[in-house]
Amino acid sequence: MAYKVEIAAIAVCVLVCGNLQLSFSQGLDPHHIDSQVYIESGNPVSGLSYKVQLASYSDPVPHEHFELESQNDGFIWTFGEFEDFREALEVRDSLLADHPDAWVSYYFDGEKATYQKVDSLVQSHLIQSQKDELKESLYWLESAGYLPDVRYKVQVGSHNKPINKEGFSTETFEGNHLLLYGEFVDYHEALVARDSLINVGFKDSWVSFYLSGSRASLAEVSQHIKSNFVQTEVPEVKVVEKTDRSIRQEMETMLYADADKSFVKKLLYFEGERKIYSIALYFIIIFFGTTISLIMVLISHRRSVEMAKARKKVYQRKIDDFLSSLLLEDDLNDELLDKKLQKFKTKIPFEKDWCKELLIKNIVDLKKNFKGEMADMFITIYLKLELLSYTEKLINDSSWYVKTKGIFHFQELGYTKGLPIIKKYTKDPNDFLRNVAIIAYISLEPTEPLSIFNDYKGQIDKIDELKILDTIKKSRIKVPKNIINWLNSKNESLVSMTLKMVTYFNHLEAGDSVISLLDHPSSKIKNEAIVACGKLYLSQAEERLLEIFNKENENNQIEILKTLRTIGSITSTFFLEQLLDEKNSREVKIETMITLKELGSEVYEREFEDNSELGLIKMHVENPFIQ
Amino acid sequence: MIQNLFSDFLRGYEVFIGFYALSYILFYFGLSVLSFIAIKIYSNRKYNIKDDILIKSNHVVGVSVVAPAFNEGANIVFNVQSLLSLNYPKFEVVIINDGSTDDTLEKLIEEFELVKVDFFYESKIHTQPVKGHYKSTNPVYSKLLVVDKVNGKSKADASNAGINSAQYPLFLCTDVDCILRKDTIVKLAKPFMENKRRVIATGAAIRASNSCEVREGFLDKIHYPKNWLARFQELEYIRAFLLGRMAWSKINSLLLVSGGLGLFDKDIAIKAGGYWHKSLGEDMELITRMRKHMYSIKEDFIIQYIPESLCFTEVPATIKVLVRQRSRWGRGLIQTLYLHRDVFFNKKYGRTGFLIFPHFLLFEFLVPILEAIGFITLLVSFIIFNTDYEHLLLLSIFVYFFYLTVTLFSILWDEILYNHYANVREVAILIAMAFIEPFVYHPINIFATLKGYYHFFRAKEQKWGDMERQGFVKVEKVAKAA
Repeated sequence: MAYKVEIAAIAVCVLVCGNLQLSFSQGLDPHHIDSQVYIESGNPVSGLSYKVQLASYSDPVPHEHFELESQNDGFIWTFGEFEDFREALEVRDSLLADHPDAWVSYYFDGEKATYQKVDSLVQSHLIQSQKDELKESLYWLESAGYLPDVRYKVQVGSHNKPINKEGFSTETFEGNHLLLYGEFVDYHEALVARDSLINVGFKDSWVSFYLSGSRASLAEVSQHIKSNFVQTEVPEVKVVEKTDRSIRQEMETMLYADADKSFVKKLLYFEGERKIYSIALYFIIIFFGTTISLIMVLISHRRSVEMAKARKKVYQRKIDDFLSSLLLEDDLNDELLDKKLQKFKTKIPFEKDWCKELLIKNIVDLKKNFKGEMADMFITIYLKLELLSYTEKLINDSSWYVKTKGIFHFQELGYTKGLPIIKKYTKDPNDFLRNVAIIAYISLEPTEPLSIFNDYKGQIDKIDELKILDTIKKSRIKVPKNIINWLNSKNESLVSMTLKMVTYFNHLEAGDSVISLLDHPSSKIKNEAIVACGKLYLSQAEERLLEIFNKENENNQIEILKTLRTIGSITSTFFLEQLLDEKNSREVKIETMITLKELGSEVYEREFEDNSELGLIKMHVENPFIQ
Repeated sequence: MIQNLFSDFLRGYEVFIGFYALSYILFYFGLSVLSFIAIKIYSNRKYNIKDDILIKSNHVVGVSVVAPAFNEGANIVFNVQSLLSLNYPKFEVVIINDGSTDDTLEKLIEEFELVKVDFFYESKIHTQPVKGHYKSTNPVYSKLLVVDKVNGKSKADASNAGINSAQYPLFLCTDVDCILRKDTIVKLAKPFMENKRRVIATGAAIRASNSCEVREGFLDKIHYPKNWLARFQELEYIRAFLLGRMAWSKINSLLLVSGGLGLFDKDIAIKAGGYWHKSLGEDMELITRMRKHMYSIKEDFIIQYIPESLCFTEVPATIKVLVRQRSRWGRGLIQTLYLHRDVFFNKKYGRTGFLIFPHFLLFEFLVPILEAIGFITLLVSFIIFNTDYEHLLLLSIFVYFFYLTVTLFSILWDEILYNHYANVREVAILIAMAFIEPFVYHPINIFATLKGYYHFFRAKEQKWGDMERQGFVKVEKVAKAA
């Protein structure tokens, strides 16, 4: 539930952000004019007329002053037909005293029209009017001759930062730095220059207008032209006049110069910088939305956690009370149990997964403390509460980690009937899932559970070894038949684990195989074999251990020394006495001295000088407080 | 001409910063994604192995907890008790008294019934002379070993003496004042036992213990710190550990396992030469050398991070101490990068040379310098140039919200994973801190790091910084009454 709240919170925030953006863009639309306001101002729209409607009837009721109009759903009385909405309103107001429900209705080409239709008509009309106005303005502009106050410049670009380019002028307008070309008294000349600039690469060039030295809109300029005379004589004004060819040459020179510039220079003045800022703006909106969402999620998560804690505490108590009451019940038959369980289900939110999880956890914890019939009773409760279907649902989930949770339920409950479901995952390619399945299989399979390792090719890590050994111990599994064969396996991890099993089972029959593993190419296997020799008291391994000692790494040497403490003879003592004089690591020297002590060597009993190395080692070994 | 060149230079710097910031943001976005994946994988595996199996087993790898102590007389007894109570079947606690001038050693001797023993000590890693080893006559404290040595002016030297005295193949390096969670060793040792490749180090998250309730060295209740500086550092730790290091761990590219908490392969650490006593960033420097050693022997290896808060430590509560600590870290960073400059883009060192070191140079070392230059440029622009305020504001807001998004995500991970804090109020304070961190705390950090760089170039002598401890919220009285 908590997660649903959080998802909803995110969704709301994203929507809020989206709407903010939407309102923002709507607010920016300067061209939108309300249709009702437009017609109420008395503006005529072609084809649109207005009538005053007074009443409507299902049957035709003629009137001497009012016109009876037939409509789809009946008949209406109307009065007059006006082109000006204000006139229609005035008439309606005069009729209100006798006809309080009178109102103005719309007609288009003689047919009654809805407001939507009127709105659409008005908007089309407005667009057309704007186009007409623009056309008219351009007509005035194109047909005008020289006007002393009007100038034209070609705008090449607008930038956020100051920019300089040879051959161009700059000016600031509304916070932007404009790059301009020329100053023309004739609009046509400005257009020619603009086209030339577009041809040489300035694709966004356009003609801008200036009235009395200030930047002006097209409407302002055309209005000015309309209201002023046309002067035919052109006075002397200093203007930039360049032919198309001269502009092209100039631009090509600039571009050529650009090509000469280094890659770094081009990189510095890259195009599209403005786009980056626009993208940044979008990201700000996204990050802002995410920030708000995260805050809401965090707070709601924390609250839901606190609520869940309190809720779980309450239901935990109920579960405890219920399970304890079952344990104390003397004559608990099937019928009574069913009855109690049904009643209990109504006291807890049983349909919730967390509640089922809590129940299973409690059943598992209690079951661990009981054996025999009492333990079986918990399985019965588990089945009667239909928690099995919940576990199966987990195992059938597509995510491997959810499956492991379900398998874990079976393992902890000792639910052997779940074995067929678990078995198929013991060969799963996912290491984690496979290992969980193997452990569960070993702990549940009643006969020869370890046979799963016959021809086993998967990797068994040290930590898996520990789990398997723990399960063997807990489930009191007997020595597997093929244990000696596993020692000869090519799967090194299986050999390593088997060596540990051999020592756990004290399986002396595997002695020869263990000794043969002292020659295994893997130092890790050798290490395990050395340990096994000691734990199984394989005295026949002594000779081989002494032979390999000098070839082994430090870890294995230390293990050999520890093993010799249990299986060593006079041969070992002799060997170790010589070893004392050799150059070895601190740890090897200490272990050698301890082994000599354990084997009752005469050399160990000898008095060493206090400050000599052997003297210090002996003191270290003899100190009762050093382990 | 000169004006044009200057203009080009400024423009070049602007473009460089633009691309730098963009790549920084993209890089950290990538790290956040990687971190999320790593944390998800970790939490998905919780049914794979239960800690109690490890705790009961006789076959686990032994661990020596190495904790140097310098003038820690005030809390040493509780701290050692806390370390001795860790839950692991095979471990020892090695406390190194690094020539303390207070009563640290005396308190240890008295409380743990220690006697000097004839310990056969071999200086595999060179250290200042060791004066003696102490073991307890009381079997209850048989896991404790105290090493008394001449002060070596560095934590590194003390840790090395501890490593030399350690008996197990793994050593856990921590500070004596750190409070470790009871399952710390289990959690950190687990990767050493479950990986096919050789694990050479593991680390986990560290949190601020200021304001936490501590009962005789044990963490009783976690609270968000009351001290303002500690609050910021808590936030910083959450972000760095959960989003930064987990991501680096995911791509096996960790270069920093915190000195406060790290488990190392002793054999590799010794072969790499142990901690360098002159280093001020000894944790990072050791990992660098361990990595180099593994490359030289051509053995595949892993350094792994765990998304669990296992260690709680008192973080600096005054600006003076914080500046000293961060300046030491800054100096340590530049020192390590300079000392191992041969690693940069060296084929022999694989990803360490082509990814990790360049990252540390570009996005760790360079950041404070660029920030300082940026700040000065802004000031100059305000006075001399025509500042483009619109874009300055736009980009500042962009960076600020990016920072907030990343920080709040890390707080969310932390909340979902651990639910550390006591109530909604503490979470709300944490969020509020995130809003003001860039304006209040971050400049102090930048100043301290730059100071560290300056000291490096001036080759100023380093020393153990005295940490002025504020003390925990103690509940000893409650314990006694109970």
